[in-house]
Amino acid sequence: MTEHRIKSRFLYHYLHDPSAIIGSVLMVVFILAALLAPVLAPQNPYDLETVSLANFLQPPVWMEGGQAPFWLGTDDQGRGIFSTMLYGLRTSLLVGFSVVAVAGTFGVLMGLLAGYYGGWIDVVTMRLADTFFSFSTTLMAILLLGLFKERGVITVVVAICIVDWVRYARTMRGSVMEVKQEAYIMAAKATGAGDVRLLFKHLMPNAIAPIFVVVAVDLAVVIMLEATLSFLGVGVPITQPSLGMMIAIGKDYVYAGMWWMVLFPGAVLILLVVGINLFADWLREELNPKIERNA
Amino acid sequence: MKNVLLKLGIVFCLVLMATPALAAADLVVAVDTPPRTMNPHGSDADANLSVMANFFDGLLQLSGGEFKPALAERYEHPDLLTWKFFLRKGVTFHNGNAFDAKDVKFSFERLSDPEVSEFTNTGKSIDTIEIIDDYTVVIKTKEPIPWFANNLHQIFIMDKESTEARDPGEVGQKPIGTGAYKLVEWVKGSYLRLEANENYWEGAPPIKTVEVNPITESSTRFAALVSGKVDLVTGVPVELYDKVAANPKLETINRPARRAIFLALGNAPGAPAADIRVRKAIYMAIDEDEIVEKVMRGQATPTAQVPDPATIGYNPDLQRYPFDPAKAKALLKEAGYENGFEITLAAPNDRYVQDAQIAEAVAKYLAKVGIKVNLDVKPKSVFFPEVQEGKHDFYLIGWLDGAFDMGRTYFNLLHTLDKERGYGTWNGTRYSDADIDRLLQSTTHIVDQAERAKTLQELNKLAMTDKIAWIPLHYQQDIYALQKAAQVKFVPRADRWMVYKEISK
Repeated sequence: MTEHRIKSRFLYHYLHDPSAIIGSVLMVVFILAALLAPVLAPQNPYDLETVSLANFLQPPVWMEGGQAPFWLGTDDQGRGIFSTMLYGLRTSLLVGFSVVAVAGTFGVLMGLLAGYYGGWIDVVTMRLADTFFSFSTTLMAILLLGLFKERGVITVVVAICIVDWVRYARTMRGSVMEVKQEAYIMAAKATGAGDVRLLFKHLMPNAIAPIFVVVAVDLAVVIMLEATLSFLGVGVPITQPSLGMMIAIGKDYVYAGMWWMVLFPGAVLILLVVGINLFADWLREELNPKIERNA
Repeated sequence: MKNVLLKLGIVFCLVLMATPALAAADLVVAVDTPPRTMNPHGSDADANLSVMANFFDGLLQLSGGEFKPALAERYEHPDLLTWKFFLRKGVTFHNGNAFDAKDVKFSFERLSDPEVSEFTNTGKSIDTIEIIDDYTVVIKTKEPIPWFANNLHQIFIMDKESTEARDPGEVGQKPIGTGAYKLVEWVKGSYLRLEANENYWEGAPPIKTVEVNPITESSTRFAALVSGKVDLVTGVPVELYDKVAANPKLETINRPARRAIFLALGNAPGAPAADIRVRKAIYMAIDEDEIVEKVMRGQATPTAQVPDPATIGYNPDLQRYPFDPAKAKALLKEAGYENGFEITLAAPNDRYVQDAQIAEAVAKYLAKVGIKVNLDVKPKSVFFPEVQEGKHDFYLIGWLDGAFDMGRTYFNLLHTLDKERGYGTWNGTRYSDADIDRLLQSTTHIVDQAERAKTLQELNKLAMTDKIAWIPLHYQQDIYALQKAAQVKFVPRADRWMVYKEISK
């Protein structure tokens, strides 16, 4: 099978899978919205000089009392919900991609080493992974954030990375153990390839496929985790926009009939996570030869 | 095996049958803050004292805004340092032990032990406690404390025998007092059940069983009220006030709270805020009326000082500096901060009504005159220890004086920190001003209430108008909601304590 044919098979499957298309379109829309936030948002809700309490608790623009440019209403501090959501998306995606990049790289490396060498490095990595997995990641992240004095996006990223890398390490290790037995690895060894060459030229490229699925699934998990932490008040500080924090602020007003403060950020968070998951599902089916495709 | 299962099944059924019977208390209340301990000296927080006041009595009690006899029938104050108490006879503790002078001596001595007491300031201010006979005690203070008696409603008397016999852990779980109620059950974080003390010295209270549910989450508290699960809630959240007031089944009771919310601002030499013009600029940049209207939803009253009208030292002539951002900018320019400066505002986010939101609003106002404010908002469990350690030089805090004497508040909050003498323990910004200290020191020898009031009012004016030692914001409003159908006769107290013997049906 040539490279070209593999690509076109991918494309064919993708174009014939509506959920993959919906998922990826959602992702692209949200990523663009986040990137273009300063252009799209009518207001910078975290520039204290321009936000005014005078605009507080306004309903969405189509309701009585709503007014432009606060399309989706405002919160208790006079921040536009629409603008805050765009900036909040930035935080969500920034945390999501940073964690996936940092925890992913570290986890993959540890998994590679553990799978290839075995011995103490394997024991240490995997027992560590078992320990981490035996606690809920949310709980672990809260404990870690409690230990850090400073609050901010970086702190949240670090805390989530610490609990998250084991996912990658485990998957990578399993995959490496399998690939390690293959004849071409034996062959490479026999021809006298060094460890570094073996690890990065032969093992990694052939064992990495399952990691792509983990990346896609994990992105959604991390975004949800950041929102959860911020909702609970241990995530980003109140001076940073966050979808989780918006929901936390808004929930106190739900009984007062001001639903827009919770509904819109909640819907965006759900759509974002659903989009990523739909795409991840498709990717998993596509990359896993064991699953029979119906299409 | 079968037998065991059968027995378990029977027990389970019995428990199921018993639960509804237990849950039906005469009065079910939801409060906004849970008690931390059942040790009456273990916490000086209102939320704790409020619960303790039902299990214990002080030498005096505060009722209808006045100090009245409780475990002491009367007292004498022959000289500046001496307080002589004549105790009530025939009072017994919940365990049957008789109350007498040795319990009073024991309780006051216990105050100095930081392991079990948050009233160490009071404890350390006492020189000697002398038992004259079983029902007469003389307390001598080290220095004159004009407000000593005004504090006695919150210094609860414990049973010497049972407190010494039990380990501190159990003392903190099972209160044994002389109070109108006995504790039946305390499930931490869930509920407390109280049962009337039929032998109470004032006569048994009208309501026989009370269930107290601490529900910290305001929307959950609201849900409990609307669904009819509770008869009475404290701390109705301001954002839901309109909704509660409009509900025909519910009744709301508002009363101006004693607590004032204000900003403490340090004056360390070299800091921008050491300049009185900067202090004034910060004051004038804040639109307090808008905070009251928008953040507090109208449930607060702007104030120009910290003590409330009931406190000695409240000065009715004080006026707020007007909101005037242009003037504030001009003042900053004059002080050499034309381009502003950066400052960190700390605040709790789970202690006062809309605390974090007020801090956010303040940050916004200050940004508009060029002062960049970093917000450091955190839970009270982290915030308050940090304040006491002196970590913050600009923070939002609330205060009310439990002893109704501004002198006590000022010694605690504004006097230059002096750890040895116990001054300035809550002066977290380490604010220091020689004029204020001097005038404050001079008040300790004034016992005559009218003269005291005059000097303290003068001090209040000096601190608020001339020195801007604090930036006062507003008095909170206490909001309660009741089920109309429960027909509870309830008059809220100024100190927010829930004293169930005062409530009837």
